[in-house]
Amino acid sequence: MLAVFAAIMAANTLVADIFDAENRIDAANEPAALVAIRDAMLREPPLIASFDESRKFPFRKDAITLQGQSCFMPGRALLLSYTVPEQKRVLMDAGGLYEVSANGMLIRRPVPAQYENLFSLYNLNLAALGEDFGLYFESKCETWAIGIEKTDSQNRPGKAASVQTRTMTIVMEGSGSRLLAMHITRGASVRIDITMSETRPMNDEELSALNSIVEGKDEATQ
Amino acid sequence: MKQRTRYRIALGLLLILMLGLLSILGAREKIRTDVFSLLEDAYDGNDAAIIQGIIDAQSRVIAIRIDSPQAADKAESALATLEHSPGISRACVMDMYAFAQVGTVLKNERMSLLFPRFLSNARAEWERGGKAEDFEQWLAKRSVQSLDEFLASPESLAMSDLLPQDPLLLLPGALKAGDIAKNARGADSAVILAEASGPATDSDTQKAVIAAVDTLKAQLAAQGCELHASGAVFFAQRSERLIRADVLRLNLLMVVLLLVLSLTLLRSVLSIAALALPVLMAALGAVCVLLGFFPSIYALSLGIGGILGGIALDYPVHIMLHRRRDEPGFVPAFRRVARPLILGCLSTVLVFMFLLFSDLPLIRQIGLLVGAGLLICCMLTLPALEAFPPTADPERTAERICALKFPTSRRALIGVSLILALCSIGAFRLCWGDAIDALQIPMPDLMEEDVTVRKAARGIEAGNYFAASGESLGAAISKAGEHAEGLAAVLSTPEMIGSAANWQQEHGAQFQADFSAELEARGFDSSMFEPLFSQPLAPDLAQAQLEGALDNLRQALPAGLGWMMGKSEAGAWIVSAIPAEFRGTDELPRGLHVLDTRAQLRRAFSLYRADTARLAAIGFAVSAMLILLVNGLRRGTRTLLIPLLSTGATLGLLGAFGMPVNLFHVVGLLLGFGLTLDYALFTIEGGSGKASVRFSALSTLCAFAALTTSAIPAVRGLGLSVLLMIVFTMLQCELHKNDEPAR
Repeated sequence: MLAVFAAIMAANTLVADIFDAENRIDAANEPAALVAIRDAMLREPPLIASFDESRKFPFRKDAITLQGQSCFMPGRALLLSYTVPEQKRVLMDAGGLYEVSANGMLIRRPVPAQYENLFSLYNLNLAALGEDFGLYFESKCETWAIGIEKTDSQNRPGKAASVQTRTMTIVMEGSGSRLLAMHITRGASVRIDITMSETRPMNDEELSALNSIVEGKDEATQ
Repeated sequence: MKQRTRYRIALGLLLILMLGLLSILGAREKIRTDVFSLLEDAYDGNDAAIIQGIIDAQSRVIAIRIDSPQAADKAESALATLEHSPGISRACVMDMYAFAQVGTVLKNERMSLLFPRFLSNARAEWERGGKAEDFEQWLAKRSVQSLDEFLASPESLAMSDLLPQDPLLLLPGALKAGDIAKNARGADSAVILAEASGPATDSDTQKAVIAAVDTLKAQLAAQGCELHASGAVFFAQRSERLIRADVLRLNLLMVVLLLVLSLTLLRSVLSIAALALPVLMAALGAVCVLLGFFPSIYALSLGIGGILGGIALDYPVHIMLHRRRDEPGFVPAFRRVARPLILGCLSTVLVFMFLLFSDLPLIRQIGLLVGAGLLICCMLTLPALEAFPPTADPERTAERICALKFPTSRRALIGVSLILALCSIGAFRLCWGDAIDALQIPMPDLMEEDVTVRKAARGIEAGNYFAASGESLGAAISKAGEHAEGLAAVLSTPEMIGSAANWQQEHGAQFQADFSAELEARGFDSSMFEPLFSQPLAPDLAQAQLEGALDNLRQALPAGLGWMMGKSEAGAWIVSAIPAEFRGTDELPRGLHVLDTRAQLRRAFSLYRADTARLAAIGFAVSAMLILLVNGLRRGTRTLLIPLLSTGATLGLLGAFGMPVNLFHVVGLLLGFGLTLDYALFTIEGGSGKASVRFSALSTLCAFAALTTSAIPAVRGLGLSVLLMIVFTMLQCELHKNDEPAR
C-alpha cells in the first residue's frame, strides 16, 4: 500500500506539468519508453483492482464519490463494477460504452461522437487517439504519465486568429506496467479522479465471468 | 352478301368497338401493378392510405453495412459517393451524428415534447404512492434525488454541460428511453441508411440504386473492405427479373405443348387460331366491362382472370367436334350441344357472379371478369366459328381423339369414386397458408445479405414495429398510448400538454421554489440552474406548440428512418416498437397496425382467400341447384358428383401432404370446378361423345402441367390443384358408361 502511495505521489509530480509543450508527442513517432510501457501492459494478464472515484461538478458543492472494482483485459476491454453509491457495471472497449444489466445484457450508452476515439485509450492506440486529441507523455524511473487533451478553436471577437480552448483532459498515471490513477477534466469545472489500489491478476472464476460479458458483447454486435 | 361475310363484318365491327372502348376507358392507365395496393382493401378508411405511405417510405430504405477496421472512415467516404447518386435522395451513417438533429430538437423543444409526459408520469407515480405529501413538494424531492443519482452514472460526464438547463433530466430520460443510439457504429462495421429517390418498384430507381451500390462495392473491394447492402429495391428488381423469365419460359412451354397436342389431333394451325378467336374477343369484352364498372383494375385480377381462357376455350372445341362432315355450318352442331354447353356456362357464370358480393374489389373484379367473359364467349362462339370455320375435318379429328379406347365399367367407376371420396377425408387436415412467399421466387443470396446487414443495423427488423395513426402527430401518439415504446413513449400528447400548461400556471411558481430549496438541501448550488419555466406553456397555444415541435422532430429524423413519423393527406402516424406481449402476433389493439409488409400481405391474402372461398361455396350451391332443376335429381346428382369428388379429392391430397392452401389454390379450385362441371355435363349428356371432353381436358392438362414447373409457389399451387382436378375428372368421365338416350 505504501508503495502505491509513493508511486502516486511520484506520478503526481509528473502530472502537474504533463501538458507542457516539451512533453507533447507525435502519435506517428512514439517515444521508445511509451512503446515499452504499452508492450509491458499488453503482456500483463487480466488485472483486477479496487478503485475510488470522485466526481466534482460546478453546480454541486461536494464531490460525488463512487467505489468499485475494475477488471482490465489489456488491449481488449475495461469493466467497471461500481458498488457505491449503487451496484452498476459499465463496460468500455474500442467499440464504445455499455451498461451491463443484472442478467449480463449489454445496453449501448450514447457517447457524443467527438469522444468516440477515446475508447482507443484502453489499448493505448495512440494513432487513433492522435486523430482527435493532443498527446503528451512523461516518465521518470518506473513512473509515467500520459496526457490527452481535447481543444476547440474559438474566434475572439475582433481578432482574426483563433484561440485554442482546452475542453477536456485525461491524465493516466502509472508505474511500470500498472495503471495507478486517472484524472479527467471537462471544461474548467468538471473533474473526475480515479485511484486504483490492490491491483492483482484475476483468478479463473473472475476471468471467466468477465469473458462471458465481453464475449456476449461480441456476439451481440456481430 | 354471303352469310360468312356478314359474320366477319359483324365480328370486325365488334372488335373495333371493343378496342375503341379500351382506348376511351384508358385501360393502360387504370391497371394497378403494385402488389401493395391490395392492402388498401384490407384496412379501414384512412388507415389503408397511411399504411401504404409507411410501406412506400420503408420500401425506399437501403441499408448498407461496411466491414473494415476503419469502418467509420470508409462509411464517411461511401456517404459522399451515395449522395451524388441520382437514385439516392439522402443518406447518413448510423452513428451519433445521425441523431444530432433529433437531439437538438428534443433539447430545444423539451418543454413541449417531453415535459408534459414527464409530469403526467410523475403524477401517476405520486398517486400510486398514496399522495402522502403535496405533489409539488414530492416532485421537487424526487427530481433532485434523480439528478443526484444521475451524476453517478457514466453518461453524466457527457451531459454535465446540459444539466443546469435541464435539471429535470428530460433529455437524458428521452435518450435513454428512446435508445436512439443503439445503431451507433461498432469498431469494425458501420451502417449507412439511404433513401431511394423513387419507389422500389420503379425500374429507373432500381437501376440507379443498384449502379450506385455496385460502384461503391467495387471501390471498397479495391481497398480490401466488404460491403453488404439490402432493401426492397434489390428484392423488387430481382423478383421482377425472375418472374419475367419464369413467365416467358412457362408461356413458351405451354405454347409448345398445346401446339404439339393440337397439331397431333387437329392437324391444322388455322383451326387452332379459329378456336382461339372467340376466347380472345371474350377476354377483350370482359376487360371493357370491367373498366366500365371499376375506376381502376388490379393487374392481379387480370392475371387470375386468365382462367377465363381455360374455361372459355372449351365452348368452340365442343361445337367444332360435334359437327358432322356433311353439315353446311355449325348451327346443327351447336343445337346438339346447346343444353350441356349453356347449362355449363350458366352454372359457372353463377359461381363467379357470386364473387360480386365480396367487399374486396379484387375479388369482385375476378368475378365480373370471368363471369362476363364466359357469357360473351358463349354468345360469340357460334358467329366466330361461322365466320372463320376451322379447316380440320371434325369427324376425323374426333376419331383420332377417341382412337384410344378405355373399357367403361360401372364397378370400376364406383371403385374410383370411393377412392376419391376416401381421399377427400384428407381435406380435414387442410391448413391455410397465406404467406407472401407464395408469390415470390426464393432468393437465398439476397436473404443472406439481408440478414448480414440487419445484424449490424439492429433494431430495423421487420415485424418489430407498429404504427398508430391520427389526424395529427399528437393524436397518433395519443392512440399509441400505453403500448408505445422507445421515443414514442416519451413524447407528449395533446391532452398531456393542456394539463401541463394549466399546472404550470397554477403551481409552477410553487414548484420552482420547492425545487430550489431541495437543490440547496442536497448540496447543489441552485443559482447555477436556469429557471425551469422561463417560457411557460400557454394553455390556449400549447397544442399547436406541441404539433409544431413534433413536426420539427419528424423533419429531424435521419435518412432511412423518416418512416417512423410522418404526415400525409390521409393523416399522421408514429411508429413504435411492439411491446413484448404482442410480439409474434398480428393482433394488436384496434387502431394499431403491425408494420410488417409480409404480415400485412398475409392478412390481406387471408381475407381475399376466405372471401373467395365463402362466396364460391355459395355459388357452387346455387349452380348445383340449377343443374338439379334442369337435369332432374338423378341425372343432376350424377353430374354434380364428378366435380364434387374431384374437388374433394384434390383438397384431400393437399391436406394429406400438408401443403398449405392459399388464395391461388382457391382460384385453381374455382377454375377446376368450371372445367370439370363442363366435362361432367357433356359426359352425362347422352350421345354427346367423348372427343370434345378429351381434347379439352388434354389441352388443359398441357397448360397446367407446364404451370406446375413454375418457380413461383403460387403458380405451382394453381397448376397443381387444376391438374389434380382434371386428372380425377378424366378418370371418372372415361369410366363412365353412358346409358342415357341421346338428346
